[in-house]
Amino acid sequence: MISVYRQLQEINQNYPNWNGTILFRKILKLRGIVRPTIVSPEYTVEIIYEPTKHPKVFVISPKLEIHPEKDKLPHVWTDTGSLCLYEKDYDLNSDFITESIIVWITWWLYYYEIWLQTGTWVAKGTHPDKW
Amino acid sequence: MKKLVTEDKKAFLDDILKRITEALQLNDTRRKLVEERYKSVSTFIEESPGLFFDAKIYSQGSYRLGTTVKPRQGEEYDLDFVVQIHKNWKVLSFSEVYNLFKDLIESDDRWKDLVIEKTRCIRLNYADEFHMDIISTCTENIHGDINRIMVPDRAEHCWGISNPEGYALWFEKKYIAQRNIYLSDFYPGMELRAAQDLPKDNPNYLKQPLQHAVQLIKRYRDVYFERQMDMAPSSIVLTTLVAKLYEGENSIYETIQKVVERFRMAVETEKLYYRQFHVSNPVLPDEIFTKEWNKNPKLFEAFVLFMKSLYELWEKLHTSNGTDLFNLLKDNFGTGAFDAAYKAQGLFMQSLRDRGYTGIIKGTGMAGIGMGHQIQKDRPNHFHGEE
Repeated sequence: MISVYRQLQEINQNYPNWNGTILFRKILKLRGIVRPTIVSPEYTVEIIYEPTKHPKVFVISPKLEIHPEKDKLPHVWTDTGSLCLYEKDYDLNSDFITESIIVWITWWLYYYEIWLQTGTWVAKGTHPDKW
Repeated sequence: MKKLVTEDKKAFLDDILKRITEALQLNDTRRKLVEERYKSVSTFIEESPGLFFDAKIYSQGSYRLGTTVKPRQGEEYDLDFVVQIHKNWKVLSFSEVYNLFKDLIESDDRWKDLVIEKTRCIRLNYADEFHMDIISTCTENIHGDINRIMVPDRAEHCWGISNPEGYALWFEKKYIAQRNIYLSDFYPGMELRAAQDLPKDNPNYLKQPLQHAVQLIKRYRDVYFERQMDMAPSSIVLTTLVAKLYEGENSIYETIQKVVERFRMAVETEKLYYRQFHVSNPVLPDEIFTKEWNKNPKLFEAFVLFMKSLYELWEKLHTSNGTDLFNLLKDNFGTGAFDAAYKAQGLFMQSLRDRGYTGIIKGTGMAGIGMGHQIQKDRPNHFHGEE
């Protein structure tokens, strides 16, 4: 398992658009600016990461919008509003966040932007029919 | 250095614009159907004894030029064909040729019930969103330019000169070399396309920016003049003007940008103000496509305003991003076409991800090509959904 310190070190060294702090010596809190495409706005995104738990990922700004013909966001946990980036049985703890979560945030936003315009989630996902 | 369309505004616009034209033109299935039907009609005509034995049958107009655009609601694709015979038109009346051609087509059960008589041509009215108009013509002079043909001019009750194939060759001469197309650098894994000229039915084939530009401007015209179609400039006027103003730009966005800029300059130069000009046939200079502007100057004024509005739209596309940009594209080319285009881009990106071409740029989080120092390699995932 990669420690939160090691995770933060990797981010500080290679990812200038992300900043992080460690809380209680076990929770990594990250804030980043992500612009998935050249025509996208800059999204402020927060990651709360605690080894052995599923990380929480929130888009802080701009506020995520809902397609006029839909009633909720796709691929988001309804209880917390955290983005769903991977399948449940995927084991995250042996990977750097930068190789998994941070990569997938970009694609989530890319496909969210298409969904917002067209109402269709065209990427691979579980239960895409619902959206 | 290759990039993805997500990294470059001009490439992003070109990609979406290209995909909009793909949503508006005949799809592959329909195009195959057209080709099959064209072949069976032409084989039948060529092999029938009589006046049309050994005639030449070929396409003309937007289908020939690769600039077809889906008509707005309720109308069908209009595909134009020519049947050309090498007989002395001076001793044949055009109604004689027209009637013999109609009789010939109607003599076969395959087409008998599809025939509709139009003023200058025979229409084969198929039930699949398109019809084929076939005009019967004679070579002007069998010892001269074989592309110059005599066509029926019903209004004048006589033969008139035309040169659709010459026009198509003129249009094609305006093309740039296929390998220079701006977008080809943004489609990883398709290097083949850049290295050789590909046949048109190859999925890697990229149409020319000039063809896309004509399709987009025609579509923009259909949207702009939706409530006053009688004021709209004809496709031949738009196609000719755009091709005349085109100077080999390699991007779709830039082609229209430069065309509208040059048009503006030309109009402003002629500006004692808005002095009327004309658009003539480049291969038959006596043929003026804009004759009706003389009778009704309002048509010319409407045209200038239309081009001005296209200029303004192009400026806005340049400066807009996000939802503003997408709304401009929806409003001016149609929501359906835009949605299809944007979804197609998303699916294409997914296929690039699956094949390992993608990555994330460190420092911005932008989706990009999967190589280089500043890149975090992508890892394809499935976005999970709640049970």
